[in-house]
Amino acid sequence: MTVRLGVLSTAHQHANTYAAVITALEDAELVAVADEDADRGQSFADSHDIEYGSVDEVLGRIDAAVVCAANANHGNWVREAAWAGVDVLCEKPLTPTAEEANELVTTCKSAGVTLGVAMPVRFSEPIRQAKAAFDDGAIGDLQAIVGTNLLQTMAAETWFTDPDLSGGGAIMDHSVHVVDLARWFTGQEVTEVYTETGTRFSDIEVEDIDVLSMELADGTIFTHDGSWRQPDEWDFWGDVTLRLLGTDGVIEVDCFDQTLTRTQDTADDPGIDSVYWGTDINAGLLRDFVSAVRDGRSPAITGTDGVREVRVVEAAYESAERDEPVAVEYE
Amino acid sequence: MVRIGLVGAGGMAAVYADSIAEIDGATVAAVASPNSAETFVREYVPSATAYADYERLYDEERLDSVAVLTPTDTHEAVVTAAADRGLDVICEKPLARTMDGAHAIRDAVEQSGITFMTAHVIRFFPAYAEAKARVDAGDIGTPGVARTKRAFGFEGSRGWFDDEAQSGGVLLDLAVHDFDYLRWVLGDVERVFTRRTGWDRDGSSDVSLTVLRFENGAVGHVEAWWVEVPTVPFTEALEIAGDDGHVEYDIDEVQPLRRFGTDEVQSPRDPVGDDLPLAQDGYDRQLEQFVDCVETGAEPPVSVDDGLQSMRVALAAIESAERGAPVSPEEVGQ
Repeated sequence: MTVRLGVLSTAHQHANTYAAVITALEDAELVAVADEDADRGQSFADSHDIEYGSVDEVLGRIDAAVVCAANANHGNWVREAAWAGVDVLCEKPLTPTAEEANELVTTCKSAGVTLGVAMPVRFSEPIRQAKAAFDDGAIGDLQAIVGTNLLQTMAAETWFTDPDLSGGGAIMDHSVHVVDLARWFTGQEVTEVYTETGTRFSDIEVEDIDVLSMELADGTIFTHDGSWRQPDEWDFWGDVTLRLLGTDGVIEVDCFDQTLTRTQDTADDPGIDSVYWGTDINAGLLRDFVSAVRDGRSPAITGTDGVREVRVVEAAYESAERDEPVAVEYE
Repeated sequence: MVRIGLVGAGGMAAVYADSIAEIDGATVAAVASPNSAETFVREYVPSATAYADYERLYDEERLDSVAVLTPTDTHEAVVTAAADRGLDVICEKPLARTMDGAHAIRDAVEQSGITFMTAHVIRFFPAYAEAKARVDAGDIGTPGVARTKRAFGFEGSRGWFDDEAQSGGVLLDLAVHDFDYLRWVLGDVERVFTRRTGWDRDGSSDVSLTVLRFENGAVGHVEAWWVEVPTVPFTEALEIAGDDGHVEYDIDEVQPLRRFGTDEVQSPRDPVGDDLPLAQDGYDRQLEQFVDCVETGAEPPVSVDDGLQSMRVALAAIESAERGAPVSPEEVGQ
């Protein structure tokens, strides 16, 4: 069976990325798009050669939806999909608050629909090989994790820097990928967070420094830097790196190190940059989601994962407020 | 000719002997070590005199200065005895094991008026010196986040380094390099928050992750560890992000010379050694500066107070890891 997919909101630029991936999948078809911004939605529909419609029209035509709204609008779209009995893959973070994230999990469960969170880094091939080696005991007992998920500095004129739409800055946007990896590798929850933050790179209303020091339930120490701080002229959009220190060894992963070095003299944007040629992580994410929809199983990263990761984010903000380590509360 | 006495005959003494041999106006006159001075002299500086006791070396040799290359907890006694005799001193980092020891050294230096330099050699490593110069030139705008890494694997016992009471562990012995460097680049530290873990023989594998807040609002992350995993090479890395640019250095990316042959040949990368493809490595540059200061009486580029301040950050990090709370360097003493 071909799974019919729709996009709900194209506020996040990943909508285009996912659309291109879905179009290339054999067992899925991109059918329609709804958007809170009609012009933006129509233009997205035109460029991907699909229908633009109202939320009801779109939900009536699809089996599953990908929500690419601004963080604060995730909840509205997910609820609409759940009420219509449509499975959902939601852009991360699931929502800006754990309370709402939790409510979405309940709503989807009682509606009998699948809820997944878009965590494509789990489908990075270097990460998957690292996970396999780690599971094999290659580094003995894990002691420490050091992660980064850097991004170029953020322009002021996007929803990412509007706290009403984003719920926060770099901490909200760029903590959850590496927190998700740590949870996935170890099966442990983050129990404590200490935060250093600030706004030093761009003239924006939200923080652009996201430096977290955490501890997992088993005592593993874990730091993460998810700051929006790389220069516009940097050779790549950012990075995802993970270092695992164990009693018998070390594993280091640089998810986007498989690149060409490109230099252009005469392009629109001349200069030197890096062009990724490694395996497409978004294809892995969407293949997993489509097969979960078809087989009626949970996707690799569930709404419950999303809730727990948002709880870490909430604790990180609380730590920044209180200037001390904060325990992460789970239900 | 600046005549230098080496106190200590371990790994650093060999590095110093190599560097001093390359300075025209300096020579190693004598070496003191309780057990291994004679062996060391035979191997590295046959023209020097071996002593078992450093005070005899101070009293019997005609010296201009001494290099203090002994375990950290002995720096206080070795340095103050040199200051009492008016001998100029270059002292390995960290300055001392405790704040009391650091105060005693500072007081002795101030009262005697000797020329004193804390050997924070990272400031003289060409990559680190160039990164500082780029930041000072405004190439990256205002720094906002800095990250450093310094780590290596080892096998078996590392002697006194394994003993927290003597070395202070990875935070005071290794991370202190980067605390000092970041202080030099970004200014004073407001607070640190450190997580630390260890295992093996009584915690001889020592892993630390420190988050720093500088008084100017910048944020730092210092990763420093040594682990009993012999295959892990020495690594160091530095990244400074500013609002108008970025500099980064990772020793793993630097391969100016690779050799392959029938015997096992490693590409040179360890800064502790004399085979880097540099006319002057960091140790050479550091000792040249020190000898110059001894000759001219100029103020050394890394003062006793620099050594004290950087060490204080490391002690604050140790305390933070113990207390599970952010700690200001002021809390561990002035």
